[in-house]
Amino acid sequence: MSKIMAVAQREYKAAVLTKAFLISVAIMPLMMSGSILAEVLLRGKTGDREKRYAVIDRTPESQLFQILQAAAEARNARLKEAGKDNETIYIVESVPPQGDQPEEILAQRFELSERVRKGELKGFIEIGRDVIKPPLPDTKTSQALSQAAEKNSGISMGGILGLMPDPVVIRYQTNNPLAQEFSRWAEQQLNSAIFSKRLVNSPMNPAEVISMARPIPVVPRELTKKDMAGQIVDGPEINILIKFLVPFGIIMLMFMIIMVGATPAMTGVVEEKMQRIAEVLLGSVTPFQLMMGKLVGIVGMALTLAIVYLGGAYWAAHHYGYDHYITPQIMGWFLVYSFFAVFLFGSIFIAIGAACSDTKETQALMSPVMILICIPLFLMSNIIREPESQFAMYASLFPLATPMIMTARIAILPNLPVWQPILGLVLVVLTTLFFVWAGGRVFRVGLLMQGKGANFREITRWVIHG
Amino acid sequence: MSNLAVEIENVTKRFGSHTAVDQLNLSVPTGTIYGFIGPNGSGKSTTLRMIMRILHPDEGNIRVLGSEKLNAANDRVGYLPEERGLYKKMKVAEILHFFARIKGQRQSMPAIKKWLERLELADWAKKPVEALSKGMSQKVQFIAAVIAEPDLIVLDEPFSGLDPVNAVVLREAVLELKAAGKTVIFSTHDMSVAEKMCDVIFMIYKGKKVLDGPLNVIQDAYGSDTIRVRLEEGEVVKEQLPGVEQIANFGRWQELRLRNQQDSQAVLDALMRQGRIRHFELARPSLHDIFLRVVGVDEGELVGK
Repeated sequence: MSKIMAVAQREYKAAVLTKAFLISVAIMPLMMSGSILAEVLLRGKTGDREKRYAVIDRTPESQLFQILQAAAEARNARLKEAGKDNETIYIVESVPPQGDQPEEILAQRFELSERVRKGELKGFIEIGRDVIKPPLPDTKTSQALSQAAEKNSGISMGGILGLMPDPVVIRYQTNNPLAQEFSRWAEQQLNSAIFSKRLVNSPMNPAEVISMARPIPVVPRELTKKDMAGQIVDGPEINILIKFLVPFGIIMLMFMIIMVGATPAMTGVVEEKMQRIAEVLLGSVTPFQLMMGKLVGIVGMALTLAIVYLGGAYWAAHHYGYDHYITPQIMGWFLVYSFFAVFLFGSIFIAIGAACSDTKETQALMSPVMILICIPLFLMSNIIREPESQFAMYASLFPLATPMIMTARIAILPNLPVWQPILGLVLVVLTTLFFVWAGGRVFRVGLLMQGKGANFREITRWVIHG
Repeated sequence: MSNLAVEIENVTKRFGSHTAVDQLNLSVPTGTIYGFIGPNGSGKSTTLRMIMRILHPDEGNIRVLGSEKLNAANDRVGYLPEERGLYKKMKVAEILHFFARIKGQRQSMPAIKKWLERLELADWAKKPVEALSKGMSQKVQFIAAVIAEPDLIVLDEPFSGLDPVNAVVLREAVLELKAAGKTVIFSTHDMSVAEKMCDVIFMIYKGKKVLDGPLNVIQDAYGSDTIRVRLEEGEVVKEQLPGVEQIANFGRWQELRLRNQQDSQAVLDALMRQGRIRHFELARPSLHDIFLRVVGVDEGELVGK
């Protein structure tokens, strides 16, 4: 036992004190929240301070441009007042239309496009002549519009929008179509302006119609339950994003822990073989002690990582008031399942390492194992959507997938029957024992083998014949 | 406990169709330096690995320190394999501490310090292994094998690749181990090293034992039938020399092997007629010479099997 611990300590130290591990501990949370953080930190700094857009307003008397300009000025003033100096301000510039003939229209679009290419403008908007006239219910235009509205998105309905005649749309031309901030803002401003203008022309009371047109939201809530004192407590509002993020995060985190834990164990064994350390070690420890030591070492390392991340996740959840989504029960199951998952896959990886004579060879043997590890990732969206289905239950009882899927289901379903995680755990423990045993046999034979690596058939023979 | 550190009885080891060790019998007495010699690929390392229980014999028994069950991981046996390496990133003292710990020694720092000083490595204790030269890391590996004070030390080619200065340092360390009552088995393909150090020689060729016994006994068996000659000018010519079986030319001198019962004085007399003699010595045959004779005589038989 003390030999196993000596090996485990060395493996743990060798793995944890590497720059790679320290960086992965420090960087991974950053990477996870990195895009959010980067957006917060870099907002406005990445782009120009001022963005200039041209507007061709073909509506009678250019009524819409004036509204857009006023909205832009109000927005800029609001940002200044709020002290958000690093936010971009919009400058809109009116360009009078140069005639109605198709050639004239094209020529003007080309002229403005050239200004965009030169960098004077970020883009330009062309407001169709007839946008304020409400389309009649039975026209083709109206059908296309309502279809487009159903899809409710700016880019994906390009196909339909392209069919619509210019007078009834607002065109936005730019050489950077991915930066949609301005076009969305303008779309919103112009549409509410157009809506009220249409109403002014109708016999109805505008204020009444606006309130009639307001959509009614469906608000998701958790189930109503009784608290400790027996009082019925209404269900709190559900944050769908968090509900999704928790199981997603659990699966991804456990996947990462397995990979970060097991991969270095495999490369470590290959290295010991390549640098001829294996036989030196075998002068002092048995192959089984060596393998167990390695497993204990990587499990220790993986749990270190798990605790760092779980602690971080819990702190973040607590900070934003979502800690009821990450209960001690979930964290406990997470740690228990992570422990066995690293043990299980670690012994497979170590056996692969022992069967190969260089790092390149490991890749051929790794790919089928990687597919097994990735099963939960493939099934993830299905399981998260319908965690109570028969399929989800069976998937979570498949031992190689149990750690990730079962923990995710525990997180989603507060009333998951307790026998399921327990049966899952029993199966996982049995599978782990089998793989440690089989891995140990492969390890013992493979460790001193030099030259060509083994294939799966040979490895199976080693397992059976020892 | 018997006074034999290692007993090998009728051991055979095959790798596929190749027989690496064939019906081997061997006894290594406690407290000796036992040299395994033979050319590369003759079965030395396989025999040592079987003694270490890293390989298991197909036939026969091996007893190490009186036990048949003793495995390589035993704390009383130290092992320096031929294929050896160290963790490159670890510091010298750290890796020695690790090797002591997996041998069950927790308080190893004084011994590590002593050994590093003994092998002139004290300045390198805090350096990572990858900073060491090949000779230095070989000395570190030697310390790793003996740090836990084992009773039996098995060294596979401990001197290969060492410069003469380091070879001397290591040789003295091995002799000290013997003086402390330890049993040392080492293999080498360098016969002259074995000749200088070993109490008992075991010579293996193509998996078979060809010689086994105390060095002086072996040499006596082959008698003083060798003459080492150096002429002032030119080289000795075999013709006209009575009873000379063979001449080995080493460039600066020649070794003459005499037929049984040949009188060396008659050879001297004949040599004087070939030129002025600078050196004339009646010598025992070297191990190398004995090996060549054994193999030369028996080779046909060995190959024939």
